[in-house]
Amino acid sequence: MFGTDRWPEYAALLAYLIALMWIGIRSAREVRTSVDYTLAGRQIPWIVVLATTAATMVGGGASVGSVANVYRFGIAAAFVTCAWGLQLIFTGLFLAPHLRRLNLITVGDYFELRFGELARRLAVLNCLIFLIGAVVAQMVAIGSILEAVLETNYYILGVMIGGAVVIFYSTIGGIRAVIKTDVLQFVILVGGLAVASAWLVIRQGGFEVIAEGIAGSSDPVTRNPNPFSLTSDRWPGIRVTTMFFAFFLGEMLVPPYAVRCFIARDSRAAKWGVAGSGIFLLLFHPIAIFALGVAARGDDNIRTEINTKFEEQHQKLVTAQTTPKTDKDHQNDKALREKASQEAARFTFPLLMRKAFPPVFAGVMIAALIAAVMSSADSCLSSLATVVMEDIYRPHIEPGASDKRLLMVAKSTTLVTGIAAIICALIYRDIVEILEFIYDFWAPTMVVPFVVGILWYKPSRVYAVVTSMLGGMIATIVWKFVLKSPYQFSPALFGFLVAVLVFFLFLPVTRHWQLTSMFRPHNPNPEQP
Amino acid sequence: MIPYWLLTILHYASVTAAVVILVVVGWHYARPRSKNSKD
Repeated sequence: MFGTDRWPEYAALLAYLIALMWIGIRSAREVRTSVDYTLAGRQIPWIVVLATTAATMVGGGASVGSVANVYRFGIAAAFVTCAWGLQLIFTGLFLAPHLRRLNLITVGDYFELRFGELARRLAVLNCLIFLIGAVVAQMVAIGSILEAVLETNYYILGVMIGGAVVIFYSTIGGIRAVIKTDVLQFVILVGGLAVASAWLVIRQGGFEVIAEGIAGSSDPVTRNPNPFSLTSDRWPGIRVTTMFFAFFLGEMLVPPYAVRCFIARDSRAAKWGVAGSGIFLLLFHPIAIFALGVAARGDDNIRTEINTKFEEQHQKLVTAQTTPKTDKDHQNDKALREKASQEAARFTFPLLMRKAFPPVFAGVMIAALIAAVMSSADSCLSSLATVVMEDIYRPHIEPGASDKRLLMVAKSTTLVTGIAAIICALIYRDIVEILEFIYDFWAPTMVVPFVVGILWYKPSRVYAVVTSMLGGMIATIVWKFVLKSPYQFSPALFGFLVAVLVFFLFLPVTRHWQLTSMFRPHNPNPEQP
Repeated sequence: MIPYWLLTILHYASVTAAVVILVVVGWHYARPRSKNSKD
């Protein structure tokens, strides 16, 4: 079934998966209440908050996806990821300490506290869309990486093995297991990426030598002849700029990060844990993935393998096409080639890990890759359990539920949603589309309320905020699905700008309106939450 | 176009940042602590 010469890789991978399950079993002993399960007793020190936040941030998109983009489009793809670090620094310095002081459990709690029941419901809907999409996307990423590692069509096996391990430790250990595994994953991931990027660049003689080797070369997968240039025909300045802002806003205070604020020991730990992860990622992540992406382009063996993958994917897509031939065949083939090049580029990171290192080290590198994805998947699963327990079950299904009952609901949610995500990942495999969809809807609806609620709050602004949430959501739907995102302008940024505009337009009109029950904040006094 | 020397310095800085953060995380878990600590 598997090549015997690669046993060190499989052994390293197996050891890593067993270690994760062992951590889950140990953490399960510490879980006694629902607060233990969802918030780890709110006792997490800043350095652990930093590690768990950074591990959550670097998921499939930020590792496999970003290296693939650097391989295809060059340094611009690394540059836009600086937005993630800056976003965490902003969140940590200005928003996280306030959120920690409020002693909340979910994002929905915050919206009810500041803007009333309707805002809470919109927020819960957004959280569910984001978390379900994110869990499915990470399950797809787990399957894709294991498929690339096993070097055969074992995607289904990959999703099932990787998914089962994540579900196992997340279900029995809750957020405690998630945090502990995140720290292990952070260490493996950071150590692996740092060693890999340094080793590959030094081995090829530095950036200048790599650039000389790449100059003038072309193939069907890469889209920028000079990966050291910030803009290109395919990624013009407007695209780079809007993507940067979309990345900055797209994940701001999504539930897995908001939970990192809630679980911190105190507001200081929340502040420096989250901001520290942003500072670290800003320094570390963009240049590390850039080094990996250009090192792959500078390696003839990797390029040949990726081009072979491209031909395979292209052939597969052409064969799968069932529509009759039309006049648009040429255009159609261009689209298929684009799709095939995207698919092929996704093998860049796993191939680099496997081909460029000695077998035992390659095993550790592959574990680092899996770690990146699992640490995001487990955080989303844990947040999903909290949302279902606190925002749906407790207020709407069984208000007087005992703690034991709530703990059981949280565990069942983790298990059921995890299995459902595996099934979805087996049916739908386009990770980029899933991630784009969920990011496009988060920022337009959620960022204005967070910023206004924390930095500029007054009960008289509730109507304007809720209207901006609805306006942002509708604008995103129209821009993305009706107008098909013209001018390469990101729907997330467009929706966010409309939300800001709607807020300021409605502010003078609605400030004296009487607050009805759906708009009445739980506690309108910002000084005494 | 970003100069190669700047990219090289940024790369050194990123590897240094990784080493520093791993030492800090390692120190957090390796340091002596009280019996009640659970982190």
